[in-house]
Amino acid sequence: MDDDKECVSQVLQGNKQAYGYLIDKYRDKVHAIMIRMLNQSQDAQDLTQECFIKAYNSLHSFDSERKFSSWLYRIAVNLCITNQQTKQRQPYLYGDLELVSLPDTPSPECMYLKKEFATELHFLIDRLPESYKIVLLLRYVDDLTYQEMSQVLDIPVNLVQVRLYRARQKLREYFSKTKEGGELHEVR
Amino acid sequence: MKCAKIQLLLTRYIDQDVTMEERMGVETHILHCPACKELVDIMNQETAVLHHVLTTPPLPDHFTIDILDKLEPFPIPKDATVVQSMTRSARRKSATRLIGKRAAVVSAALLVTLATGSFVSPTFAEYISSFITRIGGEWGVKLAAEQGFSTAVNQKVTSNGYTFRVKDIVADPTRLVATFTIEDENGEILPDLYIPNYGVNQLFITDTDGNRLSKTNSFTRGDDFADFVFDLNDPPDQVVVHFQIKEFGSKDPKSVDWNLSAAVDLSASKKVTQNLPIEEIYVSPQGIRFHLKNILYAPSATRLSIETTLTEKAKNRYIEQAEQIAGIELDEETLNRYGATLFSYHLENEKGEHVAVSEEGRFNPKKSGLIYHTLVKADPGVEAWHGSFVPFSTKEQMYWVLDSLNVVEPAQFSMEFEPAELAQHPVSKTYQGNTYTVVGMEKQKDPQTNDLVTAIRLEGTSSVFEFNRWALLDASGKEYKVEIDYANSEFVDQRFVQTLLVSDLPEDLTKLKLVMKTIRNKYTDVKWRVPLPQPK
Repeated sequence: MDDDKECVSQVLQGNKQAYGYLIDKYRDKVHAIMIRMLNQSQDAQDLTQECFIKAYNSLHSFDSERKFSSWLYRIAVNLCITNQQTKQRQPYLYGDLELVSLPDTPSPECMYLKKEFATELHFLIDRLPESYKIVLLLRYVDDLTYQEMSQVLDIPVNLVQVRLYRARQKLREYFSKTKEGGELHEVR
Repeated sequence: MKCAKIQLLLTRYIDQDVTMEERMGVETHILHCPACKELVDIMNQETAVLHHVLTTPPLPDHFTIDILDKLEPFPIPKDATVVQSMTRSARRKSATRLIGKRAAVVSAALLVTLATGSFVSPTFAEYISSFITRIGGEWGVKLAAEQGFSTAVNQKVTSNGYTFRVKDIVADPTRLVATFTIEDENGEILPDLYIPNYGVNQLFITDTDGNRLSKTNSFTRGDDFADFVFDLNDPPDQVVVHFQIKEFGSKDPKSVDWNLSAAVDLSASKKVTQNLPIEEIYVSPQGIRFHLKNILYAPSATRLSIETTLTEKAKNRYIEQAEQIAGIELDEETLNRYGATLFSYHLENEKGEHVAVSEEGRFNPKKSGLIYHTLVKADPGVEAWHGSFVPFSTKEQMYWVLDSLNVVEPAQFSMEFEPAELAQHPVSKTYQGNTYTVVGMEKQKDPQTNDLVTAIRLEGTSSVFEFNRWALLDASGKEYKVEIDYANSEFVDQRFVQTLLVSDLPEDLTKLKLVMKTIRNKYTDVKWRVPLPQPK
C-alpha cells in the first residue's frame, strides 16, 4: 500500500506515467465491479475509464492517511449509483463469463458449486439486490476488509457483515429453488 | 464455544474479519465438531467459487494507455527536486504536505469567485477535451484551462420548465468563452441551443462596478453544448458575465426568464500575457490602409490587432463613382458603407509553410489552425479587427501575409421590372459574375412595426457574401427608401435570397427600377509580409 501512496505523490509532482502503475494494478478490479453492477460490458469499460479519470482529477484531494484502493473503489461505487439512476438496465450477455472455470468440489451436497451451474450462478448473482451484489464484489473480487468496505459504502461494519451473510444465503436459496426446477427459466 | 455461537461468527471468520480471540475460538471448536467443520468447508468452497465466478476477463492491454492519453500531467512544482533528494520516509512526509498544498493551489484556481458558491464540475476533464475542437485548434483553450484560467461554474436557472446551465468559463485577456446547455424538465439537453444575443436578450460583460465592457459575442455549437464567445479588450482583473435571457430557440422561440451572473478572475492569466507592438502599415492598390498594430500572447490564444481604414483618396474616388449612379440620392449610411473591407491572410514560417489561415473573416470551428477573426469596433471608415489563433510554436519566426481583400464599392447596375408581370416573368440579370432575379413583390405587414409594407423578393448567386443595398425608383424617377429584411434573407453556399421592404409605395405603379448601390468586390493584387515579434 505504500507503493500506492508513493505513486500518488509522484503523479502529483508531474509524473503522469506513474498513474499508469495504479491503473494497471486496479483496472480489472474496478472493471469487475462495473461489469456486474451495470450488466453491459461496453458501459462497464467506459465507466471504468471514467472512474480512473475522475480519481486522477481529484487526486489532490486524496487523503494520504487512507488507502488508495478504498478511495478508488468509493469513486467506482458512486459512479455505479449515478449511472444506475440515469440509465435503463440492459439484459446481461453472459458470453464472456462462461469461460470462467470452477474448482472441483468434493462434497456432493453443494450442487451449485458444480461447473455446469456456472452460468446459472452468474444469473443468480445478477438477480441479487444491488446492496448484496456490491458487497460480494468488493469482498471477493477486490479483497476489501469489512472495515474498508464500511468506508467505501459508507455503512457500519455490522451492516457489511449482515449483507455478506445474507448475500451468500440468498445464493443458496436460489440454488435450492433451481434444484427443484422451473423458476430459473421462467424468469427469463 | 457452542455451535450456535460459532455459526454466527462464520461469515466473518471465513472473511478473516475476526479478532485473534474469536479465531482461536472457532478453530478450537471445529477440531472437535464435525458438523461445524463441514459448514466451514462448504463456506470456504463458496468463497472460492465466488472468487472465480465474480472474476471477469482482463481488460485489453491498451486500456491503461488509452486512459493516460486522456490525462494531462500535473504541473511540476518548483521544489520538486528538493523533494526527490530526501530520504524515503522524509519524502513521504513532505509529499503529504505537498499534496495538501497542491489541494489549496488547485482549488484556488478552480474555485469560482461566485457570490452564490459552486463546485468543480465532475466532468471537467471531458470539458477540456471538448474545448480542443472548438476554439480554432488543439491546445489554446485547453492550455489556458489547465493553467488555471478556467472557472468551473455549473450554475443554473430554471424557468417555464427549461433550465439554462452555465457549465464553465474559460477566459484570458483576449476573450471569454462561456459554455452552456439548456435542459428540459427531465434533464435532457435540448437539440436546439440557440440563444440570440440581441432583441429581448442581453448577454454582456461588465467590470465589478457594473460598467459594460463587451457585448460583441458569437454563438457556436458543439454536440451537446454551446458557447458564447466574448471578445475582451484590455480587461480589468475581475469581470462579471451577465446572462439575461427572455427567449431562446432558433425556429420556435420559447419564452423564459433566465437571469444569471458569473464572476471571473483574469488576474492570473493577465500576469502571463505579453503585448508586443508591431506598427506596420501598408496601403493596397484600392486605397485601403492596413495597420498591423500589435500582437498579444495570452494563455488561450495569440491575437493580432489589425486596423483597416479608407484613405482619403479612395473615399473621394468612391464618392465620385457613387454620384454617377443615375438618379440616386447618396445617403450618409451608404457612403459610410463604401470601403468596408474584409480580408484574408495567413501565417507562415520562414520556409513559407502555412501555419494558420483566416478566410475573409469567417471562423470555421471544424478546421484546426484557423484564425478566429472578429470585428472589434467599426467607426465610419475605420474597422478594427482581432485575429486570434491558438498559440503556435514561438521558437520559429512567423510572418503575417495578406492574401486578398474584398471591399464594398459603388455599383453600376439596375433592373427594371413590372410588378404585375413578375409572377409570369421574373426578371434576371447578371453583374460582376453574379446573377440577380426579381422573383416577386407583395404587400405584407412589417414584422417589426406591423405597418403595411411592400416586400420585394430577390434570388440569385453571388461569389461574395454580401447583401447588396438597393434603391427603388418609379417611372417618374421618384426614389423610395429600401430596407433589407434580414430575417427573410439568407445566403447558403453561393446562393442567396434577399427580401427588401419598401414603405409607402403607391398601389398603381406599373414600372419599377431596382438600382444597386453597393457591391462587394474581391481583389488579390496585394503584396505584404510582416515578421511577427516573438514573446520573451
